[in-house]
Amino acid sequence: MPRIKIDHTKCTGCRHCEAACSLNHVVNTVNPRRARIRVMRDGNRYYPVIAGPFVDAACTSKQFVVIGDQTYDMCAFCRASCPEKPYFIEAETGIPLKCDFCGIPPSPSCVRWCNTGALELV
Amino acid sequence: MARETFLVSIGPAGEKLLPLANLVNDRFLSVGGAGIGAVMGAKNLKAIAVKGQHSLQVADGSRFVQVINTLINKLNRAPLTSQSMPQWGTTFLVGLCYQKGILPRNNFRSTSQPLKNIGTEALNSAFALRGRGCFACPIACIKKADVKYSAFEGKGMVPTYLAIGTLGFNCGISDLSAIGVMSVLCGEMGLDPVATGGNFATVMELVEKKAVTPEELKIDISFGNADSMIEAIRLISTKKGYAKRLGQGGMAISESFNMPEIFMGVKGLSLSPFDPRAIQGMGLHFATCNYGPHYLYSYTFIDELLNVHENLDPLETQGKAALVKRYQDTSAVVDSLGLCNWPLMGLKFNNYVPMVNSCLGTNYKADDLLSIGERIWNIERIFNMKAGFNMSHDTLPERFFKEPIPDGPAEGQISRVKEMLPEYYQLRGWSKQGEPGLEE
Repeated sequence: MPRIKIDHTKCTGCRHCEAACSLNHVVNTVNPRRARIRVMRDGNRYYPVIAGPFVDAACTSKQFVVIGDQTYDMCAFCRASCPEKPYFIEAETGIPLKCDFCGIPPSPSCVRWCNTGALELV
Repeated sequence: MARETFLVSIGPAGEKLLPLANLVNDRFLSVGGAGIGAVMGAKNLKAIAVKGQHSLQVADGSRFVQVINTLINKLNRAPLTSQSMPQWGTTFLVGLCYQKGILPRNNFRSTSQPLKNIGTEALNSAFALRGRGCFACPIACIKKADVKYSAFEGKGMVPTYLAIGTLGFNCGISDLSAIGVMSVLCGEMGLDPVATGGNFATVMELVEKKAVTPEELKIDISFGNADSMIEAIRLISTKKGYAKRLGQGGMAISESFNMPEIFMGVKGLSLSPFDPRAIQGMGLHFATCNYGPHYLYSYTFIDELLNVHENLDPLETQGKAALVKRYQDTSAVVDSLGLCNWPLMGLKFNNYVPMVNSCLGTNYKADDLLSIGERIWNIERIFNMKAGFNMSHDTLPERFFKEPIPDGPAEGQISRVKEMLPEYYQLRGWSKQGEPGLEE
């Protein structure tokens, strides 16, 4: 199964991958809301996240995760296009989106377009 | 969280209608210029938020992708846009400007200072740098500070060349972490760094010339005193008591003490940190710019200082009028397109044209776009003239014509703007009084 490796130390948060994804999937259109990859932000850090499948198993086996002195809900890490979240859902139609890796080969358009090399197909 | 709403707002300074007030967006970038914040404050408008979900249509998607990829490859091959800018942001200009004697010190009265505390190496050790790009930018010149300093935690931005030059060296301060704190404070208070720096440089020279004593101001403000300047930046945005006098802008302060000649600015706005005596083309731009003396409205330093496209001597006046006109038109049209001018350090303006055409489905040529830029510039000029500006405002402070640079690599130079101005008017097709014809 293809996976995209993300190096958050390299990401500049420019969201070029979002533009690339929507240009590749929707003809002649640039719209980050229709992209299957979104750049999330936590303080000064930016990390791109690709849309994953929405399955019930992930929700039913939810638990709390402690990192450092903070407790996180599993939802904070989940990348499913679930109805609870505003992203990975096509805004105009409400259809959930899922990353298809642009039908590799050669490699997904976000990986090819990334300016800093933060994304890598493994 | 991926954010869907973006906003630009004024700070406390804008609410108090300070003439130094600016807009600050939620990425901690000052946008606009001095006074815009006061305009919004006067209309009781605190912030503008934008959200949207509709798509942008590109006329010819496959060609657009192809053009963008070529341009990005070009940028990645150019040394400035692939190494200097991504690594240090605009701060790499500090060392270069110092070497050419362009970096001003002590309210434009000197250009030399000890270099060990400034420049890119000091920056690397003072801040943990982290690149941050505007939307889809391959350069990512905004430098965020990681949590190395408490003042920067989570939100800070490493000071840009503008902030280092105006808040720092022009006020005699060469401590990078103090400049960083001031730059962050300006962002939090909604102050414009250029106008704030010029304001305090004027006050400092007033104190030095004994026009006003520190006791009267109730704050020990003088060249090189970083702590009191940080305190003063905090105070002026409250606009209470004696702080009211400090924050009224460099021009108003110098006039209230009957010394208007010590305010270093054009059309009421403080100069960007380029000494116009040592870089003549930028001097002509400072004198003629519609906005005021801001270096980002004409990127002449790309050719004069960095020698990217042409190898020009900053001290020469030959051909500078044409250079200034070309870059002013370029930046007018590029700003109107919503694009950035910094890639001009790796691209020519001609490279922008296929990008515009494939996106909009038009058939512009480079000259068509430049003539649009010229029209924009003329309309701005006509607006300014209706608002009361005329040829007598197209000049620099008297200091740049009378006092040569006392030290540094460009020693003995004076500004020769008055020689270039008639040629500039002629190239623009304006009358000898600098008035654009109505038919343009």
